[in-house]
Amino acid sequence: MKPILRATALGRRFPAGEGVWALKKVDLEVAQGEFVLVAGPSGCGKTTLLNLLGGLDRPTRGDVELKGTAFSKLDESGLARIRRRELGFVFQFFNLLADLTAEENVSLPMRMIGLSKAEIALRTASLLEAVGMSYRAKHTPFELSGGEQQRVAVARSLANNPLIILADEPTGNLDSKNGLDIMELFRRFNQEKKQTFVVVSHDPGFAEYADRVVRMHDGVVTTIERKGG
Amino acid sequence: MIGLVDALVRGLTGFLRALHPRNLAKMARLTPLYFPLAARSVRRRLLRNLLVGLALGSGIIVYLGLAASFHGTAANTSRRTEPLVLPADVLAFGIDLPDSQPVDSLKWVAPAGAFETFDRWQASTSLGTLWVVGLREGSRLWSGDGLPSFPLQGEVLVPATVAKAGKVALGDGVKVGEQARSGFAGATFRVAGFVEGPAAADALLGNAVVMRLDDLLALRSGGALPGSPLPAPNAVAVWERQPGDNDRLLGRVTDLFPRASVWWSDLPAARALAAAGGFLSPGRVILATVFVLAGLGVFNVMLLSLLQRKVQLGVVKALGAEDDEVFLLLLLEGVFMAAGGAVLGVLGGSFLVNFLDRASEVPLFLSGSDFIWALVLAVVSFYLAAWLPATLCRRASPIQLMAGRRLYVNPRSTCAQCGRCGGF
Repeated sequence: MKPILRATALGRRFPAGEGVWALKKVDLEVAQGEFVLVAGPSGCGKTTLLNLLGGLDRPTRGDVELKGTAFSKLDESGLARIRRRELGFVFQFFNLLADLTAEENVSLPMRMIGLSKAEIALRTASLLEAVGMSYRAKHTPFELSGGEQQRVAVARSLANNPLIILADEPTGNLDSKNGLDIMELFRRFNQEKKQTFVVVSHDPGFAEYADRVVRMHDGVVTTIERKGG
Repeated sequence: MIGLVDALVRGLTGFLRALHPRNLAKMARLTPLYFPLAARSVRRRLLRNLLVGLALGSGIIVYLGLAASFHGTAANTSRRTEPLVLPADVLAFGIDLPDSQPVDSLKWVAPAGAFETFDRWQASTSLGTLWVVGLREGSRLWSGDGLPSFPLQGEVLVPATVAKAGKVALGDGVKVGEQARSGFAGATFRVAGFVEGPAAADALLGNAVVMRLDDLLALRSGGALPGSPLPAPNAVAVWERQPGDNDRLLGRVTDLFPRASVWWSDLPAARALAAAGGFLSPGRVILATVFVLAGLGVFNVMLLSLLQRKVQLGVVKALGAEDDEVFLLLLLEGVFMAAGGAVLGVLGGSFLVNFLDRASEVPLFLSGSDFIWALVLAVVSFYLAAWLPATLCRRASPIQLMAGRRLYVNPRSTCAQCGRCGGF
């Protein structure tokens, strides 16, 4: 299958002290509808990789292409547009906007691309329903539990029907039950709607959800395991 | 340092670029999206933002108070002095300020019976009392400067010139006195003898006309002041509001009245305005200080707001907000603060001026341009204060914000790599 996301010789060096290569040289391809789990110990470069794949950070070397568009060719506004329309993010600490209610958080990306109010209302209700959070639509993040916040965050990541959802330790701040619920949610969206996921987690138990597990160590990909062999 | 200069230059060009119609249209389109977000953010930090608004409001109140005081003083002086064309023989005037009492030291001598106060006209300004005293027509008044001290109680030595002109004989009564705040106060003395007075004592102050330049020029053909029973003046006192005109004016007066002695003083209105300017100078310092403090207040709150919400702002960027949009979001928050402060300042300033106007003899008032200028000053100080925090945020990458990393004015220059300043 033709990849929609491709990372080529990706490297990221942070300037602290002598300079640290958090990511040395990573090549990765993600196909449409695929569920990729990036696993590895803390500090191996998983999050750095995800940030680069999501255009949240610029690589020191190498490049990322999304549907043939190289991130290196885009300015900051171009990257922002890509993030806005083609990518969805789920973060470890949920990162909902505290000033907004659950439904306003979900609708924000839609408002950014200028959808009509009616369409936003319809789609927001549908997404909150899909993640089981309709009954909390008017609540602010402070009034939600961790698991509930992450569900809202998942709904927000799906708001603009992104090509890919990038999730950085989405269960890292949840108890095991809520963590499994979120992963189930991901699997459901992946299987029912063919939504592409790239999920970073250090929990080896989540490997069963993925079509492919990319294992990393010291800033490089060590192995790539495909489901069923 | 280079990074800071670079950032300032970029900030200026960015500001100019933001004024491009295309960018203004973009901002107008995005404002409804970020307006509620900014409004809620301000509401959640109400007390802090209220304090900033209060600081800006104070600046506006001080500005409006000073402007009203200046307008009031200027207009009061102008209104009361401009129509002043008194058919008096002598007018003395001055402003009750330490450095502006031109006639306070005037000693005078006048024949008894030929002296009567014509009028005493007084106007209060915020600077003190402006007063004018005129002598009734036909009165005669000579300078008493340089007169020898009187040998006996109740007696006086009169300059021979005065005695001759005033037909004063030995034993007659004359009035002698000094100009006082209350007017031409003097007592009657018996003439005990005649002396050859100094030149100053020979100067006839009486039969002079005080007039405005326009009236003076109306006398170009010579003769009497139109509509006045006075004869052609043998002395002219000139009073004009524009200090720069004095030299030119005196030359023209000399041409017009070659035989008249010209007596002129510093100009009351000009003095009032100058004094008002002097009064306003410390006021301006206060004003500048208040605006700087208000600006620092906005700067602090905006910076705090940014630093406390690095992650949230990073998330907004991660969700796809462009750099300009985050800049707009922060500016909108600042606009809320500034708008609150502006409303507070305009209302407070209006109330203050209204109150002072009633409490003081000086009429204080404000013009529409004062409000506009106050708001412009507030907006400029707000923009200058809000620019740096908003710029820091605009230039940071989403991950920089979300990871809570230090922010530098120019993240892609040597500024960030140097890092000696510690960033924000």
